[in-house]
Amino acid sequence: MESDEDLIAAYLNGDEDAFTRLVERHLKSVYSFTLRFVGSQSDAQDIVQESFFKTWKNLKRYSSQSASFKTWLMHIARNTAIDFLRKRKHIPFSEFDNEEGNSVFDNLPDETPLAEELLSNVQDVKDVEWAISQLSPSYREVLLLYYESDLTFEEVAGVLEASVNTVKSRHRRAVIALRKLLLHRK
Amino acid sequence: MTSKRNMAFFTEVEPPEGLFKAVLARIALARRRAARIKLAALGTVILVSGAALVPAVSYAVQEFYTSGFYDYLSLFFSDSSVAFSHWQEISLSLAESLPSLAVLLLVGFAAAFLWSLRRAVRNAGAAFNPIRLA
Repeated sequence: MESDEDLIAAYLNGDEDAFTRLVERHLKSVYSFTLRFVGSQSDAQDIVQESFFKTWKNLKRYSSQSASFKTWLMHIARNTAIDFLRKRKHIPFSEFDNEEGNSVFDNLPDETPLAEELLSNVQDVKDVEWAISQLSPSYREVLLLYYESDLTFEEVAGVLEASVNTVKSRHRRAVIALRKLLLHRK
Repeated sequence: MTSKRNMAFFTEVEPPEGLFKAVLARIALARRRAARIKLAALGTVILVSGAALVPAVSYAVQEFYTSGFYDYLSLFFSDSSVAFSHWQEISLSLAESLPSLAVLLLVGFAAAFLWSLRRAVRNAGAAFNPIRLA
């Protein structure tokens, strides 16, 4: 199977269908992340179209040495989603966030089970989906990029333009917050 | 090690039908718009360079006659044996009398005209063909 970089090279050399294959390959990932990040199907569709448009427009500037294509694409999608929400003046902060946008669960000390262990104890998918939707955007995006988009911590750091340690720290706090939300739900 | 995505709560959501084509249509429309803008710019270059060619040709012909270049060149046709026996001196005279500005203008405008015409023909398809989605 052709790699993303092969498809990009083919497109830049005149193969018009190469970009179509790239879209086909990554559409589901980008849509899933965007939908769970913004919480609205119609908004997610608009953001996905805008994200791929920006990707196409800037394809010549992409360099595989700085990041994988998927990381670069998710970075564009994430920034597009944030810009979209800012324009709508609808930042999806949860009711559990304080004025600075930090979760009130941030400062509660806790021993965090691994996310896999945590989620294996949950019976209802809807509870998890609700809990994720209640997280602050910075926690939500880390969980979505790491678990749903299946990126490594290094790749998530690339998408968020943060250090790997910051991402790991945010992931840990996100899992703590998720656990608290799930307990609160019960 | 189990893939993180195998955790049921984080499975990817299937995009709605039509989103794929909507993405491609958005890009195709942008591509067509860019091609039309390019075509308009090339059309301008074609018109300007084409219009400039007429006086450039006229100027070059005039200069060829008045500079003496034509007279030296015609020696090769009227009295070729003499011309070839003194080919070095005649070549020097040809080089000195060459109306370089006129030649430069003529070649420049002709090159611009042909180059932009070629690009415009190539671009016309992208600018006006119906949008084809996958």
